[in-house]
Amino acid sequence: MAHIVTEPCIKCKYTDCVTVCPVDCFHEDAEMLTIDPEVCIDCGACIPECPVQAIYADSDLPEKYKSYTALNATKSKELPVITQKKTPLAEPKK
Amino acid sequence: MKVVILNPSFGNDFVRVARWAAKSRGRVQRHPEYLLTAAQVLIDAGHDTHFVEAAARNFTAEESINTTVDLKPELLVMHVTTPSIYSDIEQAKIIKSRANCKVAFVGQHATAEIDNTFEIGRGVVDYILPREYDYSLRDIANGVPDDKNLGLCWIKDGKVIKNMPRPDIDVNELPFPAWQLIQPEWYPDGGKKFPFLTLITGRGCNNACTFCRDPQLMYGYKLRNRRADLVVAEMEHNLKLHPQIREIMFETDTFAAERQHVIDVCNLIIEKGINKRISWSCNMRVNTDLSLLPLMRQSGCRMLMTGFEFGTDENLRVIRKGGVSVDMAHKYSDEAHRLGFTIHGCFMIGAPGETKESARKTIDFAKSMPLDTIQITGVASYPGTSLYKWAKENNYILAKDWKDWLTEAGEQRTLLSYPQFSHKDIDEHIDIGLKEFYLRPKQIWNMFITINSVGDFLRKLHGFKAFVHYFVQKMFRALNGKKMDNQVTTKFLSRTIRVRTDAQNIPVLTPVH
Repeated sequence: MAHIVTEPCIKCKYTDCVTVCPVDCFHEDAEMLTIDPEVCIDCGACIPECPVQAIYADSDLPEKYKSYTALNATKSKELPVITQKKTPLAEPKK
Repeated sequence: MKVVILNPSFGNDFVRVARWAAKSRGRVQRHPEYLLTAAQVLIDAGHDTHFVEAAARNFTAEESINTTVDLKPELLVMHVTTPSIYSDIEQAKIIKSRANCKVAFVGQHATAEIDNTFEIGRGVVDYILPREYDYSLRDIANGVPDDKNLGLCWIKDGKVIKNMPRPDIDVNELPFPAWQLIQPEWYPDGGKKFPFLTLITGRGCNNACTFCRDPQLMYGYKLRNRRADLVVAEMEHNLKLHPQIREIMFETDTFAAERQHVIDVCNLIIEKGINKRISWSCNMRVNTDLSLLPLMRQSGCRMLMTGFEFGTDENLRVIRKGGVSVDMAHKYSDEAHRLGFTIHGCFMIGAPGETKESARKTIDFAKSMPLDTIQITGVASYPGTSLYKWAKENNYILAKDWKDWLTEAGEQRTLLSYPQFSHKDIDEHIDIGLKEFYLRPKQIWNMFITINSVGDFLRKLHGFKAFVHYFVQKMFRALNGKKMDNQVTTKFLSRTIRVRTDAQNIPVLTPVH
């Protein structure tokens, strides 16, 4: 069980989610954020923070984003943790 | 080593080990399950361990001190709280001077305010055991050198030394609480079948609520459920020890967070036939898998203490109660009601950004669901929480000192006050909500027709008396025009200092070996 960052985050990185995470499980690369499934506690606090609805609990993950489960697990291991909000890459879609 | 664990007094009905350390509006008391788990760890390690329940038994400060001194402790352990910290230190000072013992403080406040507590308790407090204290306490009693005792905070050459933290305890290694040191009848609660005991099914909480101290300060965010067989064995153990109990309350915040854990516990309860002897109740979140409810009901679960909290998704978001929504709450309460559960709803007023409109929505939300009883509290921000840090940085906390945490009646004082919604607005909406919920003819009728036993009648009578007492007390205070100052703390402190020297013979239960 974990939460998963999906496609809408790409080239957006609004990063509000990282400020509410109690266990600092978000990682970032140049384009998007990922969640380390071994650290995420499934509290769900990040979901309503994301203005582009990019974060899902794995039980609610739409079929079209299924590949992001593995992507979050692998990429998060290689990338630095992000805990502070940054300027987003793009304005979120309304 | 002779160890005395003291739950010190701080005025009538002060609840020391609850989420909010104050006199509750329902005039309930809470069982000291964590202290008694530590007590059993000490007993198992061969230490002569006693427990003095001065808080729930409404001892005076003199009784609290004299009872403890009479036991001649070598190590005094006290669970201290934010509003009572000065009184706690005064009591510890007198006990230390008369018994010549070491003093260790435990609990959320001591964990959050280690340096401040050592400073104001200079010369009194020898140890602070932040977070989980069971094994650090045992190691003190075992004579482990202070610098080798993981998790211990202590004083060396006038400086505070904070040892490396102790890793999370394996909850399956912990013994059952030393319930032989108390009587269940000391802990009234109008909502439970009386008498009852509490049970902790695990430690840690996988939720990020900004106001809650337990994951942030004490037990962490990783859910550590105990094995189902241990949970159920503890129920059987409790029934053997105190056969008069009529209910067991799973006080864990997140009992139902892991589906398989709930299924295993419920099936074992049924297999052992415990559901035929007593009922059980638990805390719940509205995002619990609803398919678990029928099995829970079948296994004897009677009441669901449910944290609905707020009537808007925005308030749930800002307080970071993740994974839940108002819509979910309606579905949950409808299903639980249909299955025959008693539902106690917990609500709060005073989220960051709260307005009169959103507070009204919370009240209407509470009234819109099929709930049997409710509680409404002002959001409390205790030291060590992210809410406290945020409120302090933004100057939204009225308290200037720890003693400001209570009203003159010893109840939780509303300390958060926002530019758009003051502490008075919060208090006003709490009272409006309670009156509107309970004084509806439908609610009164429902409470009346659902009386199904003498015990149920007495429980409801206790709740009714507490309800009336709360409002009558407020009315008299308003009529008298009394200022909301800190008399309560001053009064208890002065009582502490004027301690009598003739030790009273207060009965204390000693361990059953």
